[in-house]
Amino acid sequence: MGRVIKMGVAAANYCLRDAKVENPDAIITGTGMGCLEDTENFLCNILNNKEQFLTPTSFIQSTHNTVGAQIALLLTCNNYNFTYVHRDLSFESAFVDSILLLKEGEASNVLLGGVDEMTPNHYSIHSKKGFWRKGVTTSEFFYENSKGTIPGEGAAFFTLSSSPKDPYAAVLAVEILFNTNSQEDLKKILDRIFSSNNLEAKDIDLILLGANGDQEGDRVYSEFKENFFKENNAAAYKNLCGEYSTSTAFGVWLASQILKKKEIPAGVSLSRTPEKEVSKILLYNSYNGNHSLILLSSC
Amino acid sequence: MSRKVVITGLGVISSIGNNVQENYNSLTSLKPGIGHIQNLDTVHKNIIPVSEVKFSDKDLAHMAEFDMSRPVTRTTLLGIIAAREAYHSAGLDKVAKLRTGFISATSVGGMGKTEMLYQKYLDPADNGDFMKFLETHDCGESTERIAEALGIKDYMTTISTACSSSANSIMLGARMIKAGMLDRVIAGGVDSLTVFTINGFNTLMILDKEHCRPFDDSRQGLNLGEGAGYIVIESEEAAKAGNRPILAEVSGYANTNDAYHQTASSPDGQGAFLAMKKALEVAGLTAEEIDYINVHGTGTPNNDLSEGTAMTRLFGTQVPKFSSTKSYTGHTLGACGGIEAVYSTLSIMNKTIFPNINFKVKMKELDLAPETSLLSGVDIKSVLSNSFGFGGNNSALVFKKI
Amino acid sequence: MEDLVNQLKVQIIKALKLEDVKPEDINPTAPLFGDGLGLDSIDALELIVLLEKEYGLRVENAASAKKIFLSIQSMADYIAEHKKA
Repeated sequence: MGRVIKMGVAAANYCLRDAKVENPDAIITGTGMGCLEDTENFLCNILNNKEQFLTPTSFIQSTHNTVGAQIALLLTCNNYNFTYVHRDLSFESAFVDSILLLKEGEASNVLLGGVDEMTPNHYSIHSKKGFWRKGVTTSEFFYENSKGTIPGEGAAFFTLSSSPKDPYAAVLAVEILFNTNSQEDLKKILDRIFSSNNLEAKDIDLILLGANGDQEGDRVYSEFKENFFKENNAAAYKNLCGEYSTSTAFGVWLASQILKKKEIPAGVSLSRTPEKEVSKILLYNSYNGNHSLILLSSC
Repeated sequence: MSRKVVITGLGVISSIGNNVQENYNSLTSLKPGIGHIQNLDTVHKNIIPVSEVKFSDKDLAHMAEFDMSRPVTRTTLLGIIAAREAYHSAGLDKVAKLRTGFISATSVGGMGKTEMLYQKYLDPADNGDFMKFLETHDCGESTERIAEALGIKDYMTTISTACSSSANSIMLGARMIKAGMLDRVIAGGVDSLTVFTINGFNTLMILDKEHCRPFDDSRQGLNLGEGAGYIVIESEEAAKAGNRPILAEVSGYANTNDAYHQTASSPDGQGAFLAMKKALEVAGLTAEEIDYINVHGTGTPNNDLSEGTAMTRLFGTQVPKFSSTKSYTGHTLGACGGIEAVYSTLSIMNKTIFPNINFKVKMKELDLAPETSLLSGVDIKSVLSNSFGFGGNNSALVFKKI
Repeated sequence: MEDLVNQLKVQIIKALKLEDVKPEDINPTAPLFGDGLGLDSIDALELIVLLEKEYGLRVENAASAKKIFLSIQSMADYIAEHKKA
């Protein structure tokens, strides 16, 4: 069983216990790369043994919906169970569906998660493309204007509830913008988010950026900050979790913690000291001209 | 949330045809697409039959009008061909821009290319041109390329829940239209045959060495297939405003989980039973109102018994006419829900039930026999289409005549 | 025979990644499936490959495997019998 499955099942368990929900009305997960370790195991066995002496377990567990399925099995949960696999928008896709289910009245508690794992093979293959910074042990590299980032992995789960008891945060918006580098398009989405929530840019206490330390890739985040949130406080989070397809899930987890505990962990390096309590956080992530915006508020 | 979701376009490529008309012709002339492996390099070549699309990647690229100097997978090419047919048949290329989404599904995405290149990927010294294919591995890549070919960018996503994947993409599309988030969606899925999946299913000992025989007592397993199937769905208002012919309605859908075993279906078919029951509820139909079931019917001993048991639980002694079109196309994994949505719509439009070929003897456990000859002139008002996947992922869709 | 039984125990623990089980914990005559070791149908497929890989014995289908995989002892008996032949 690959680590991604163990991470996912464990995080889902913690999450449900925390929310005091026994059996959610839906289990929705996002994963960019799926169960990499099992996929690689089965593939390498095929290639190394010339298609002989293969056993089914790693093949079965290579299926992308294994994490969601294992959670359902452990809970004996017969309810809705979807897995999204849309690159760096896998978690966001799952998030959009979760909110839709709640709005439809089809669910009052949705278990939402983002999971991805890093493997030695995945690391070394992507090294050839110059993806990674080597020999980095602190967040310092983030500010060095250099190429590459640090690999990451993780599982973050959330219970989304239409009638929460002791919530971490309220979800005000989850928006995705596809295939554009136009700042105008981004502005339109931001305007929509603001107008539907009666907010202005200055009301956002913290912008959490998906910057990952790669000089070239991070330009989009500095432009975003410069164009729309020049005066706002900002921080990155991928220096804490590394880069992976569903790292936005970690960002949402971090934002939820900040909003509930009303304190910002020392590892989060802010652009300046906040003047007041953080009550609105906007997360922004981007890849290949795709963008996601998630707005959370304290309750 | 009362918007009706209607189907205005169909597109399919499979072992039995490159487009809707060719598929229909094969279905009505009882011609399956199952045979020996041609396009894959595997030790199982002459032993395990498959249901292959009989074109090389180069031929498919030509059909898809795709520039082969860019990295591309067979999955993407199959997807473009079927999705474009759906898009054009609905006339979407000609109408004013409404909010359009592309929701696709696949079980192994770009694995077909990865398995050919993996050893080179792993060689730290080899950094050749093939490295550009690295980005084609994951499941979302084909969705992005197909959406790009159609010029869709209002919304897109990819679902992967094994063999129920593309039924789920249709379900999501219908829900998003009902909720007013999108006006129309091209929904379905695609999978290409890979050495990875052939060996995977082979280790499970559920590949029949003969043509698959869904629901037959002698069934030994499934035949793997490949292809893509997409439908264009839109709100009834949008379709009417654009004067587009309405082919059928997507009136019901449900997804449940069997929560029994990672691969095997439960003996009582609980997940399948709940999915069918819930889909009927969403459609506002009673069990008696279903005229035909396009069953999941893979041909494995376990699936067909479990599905049949669930059908008997839901319909009692009055199980509607049913058939598995996988006896033609093989099991196309992440594409089957999309392909069978196209076939279900064709059934309604042409008043035709496609037979379950190769069936001879009822399984001992259940008094169930699928249709074995082509039935025409049948007034089909509602079709139930089942798709079940690993991880106990069970989906059912209801298509209704308009 | 006892050597074969012990060898099988080690091989099964490894093949099925039964991380918490020690060879001495397994009673050779206890059922492998259901109440005993609690194995399932997928584990049976793993055992079929184990027989093929380690002992060169082919089991054609999961149904005929049922008798062979009743217990470690029945597996050992099957191996002993067919290896001789």
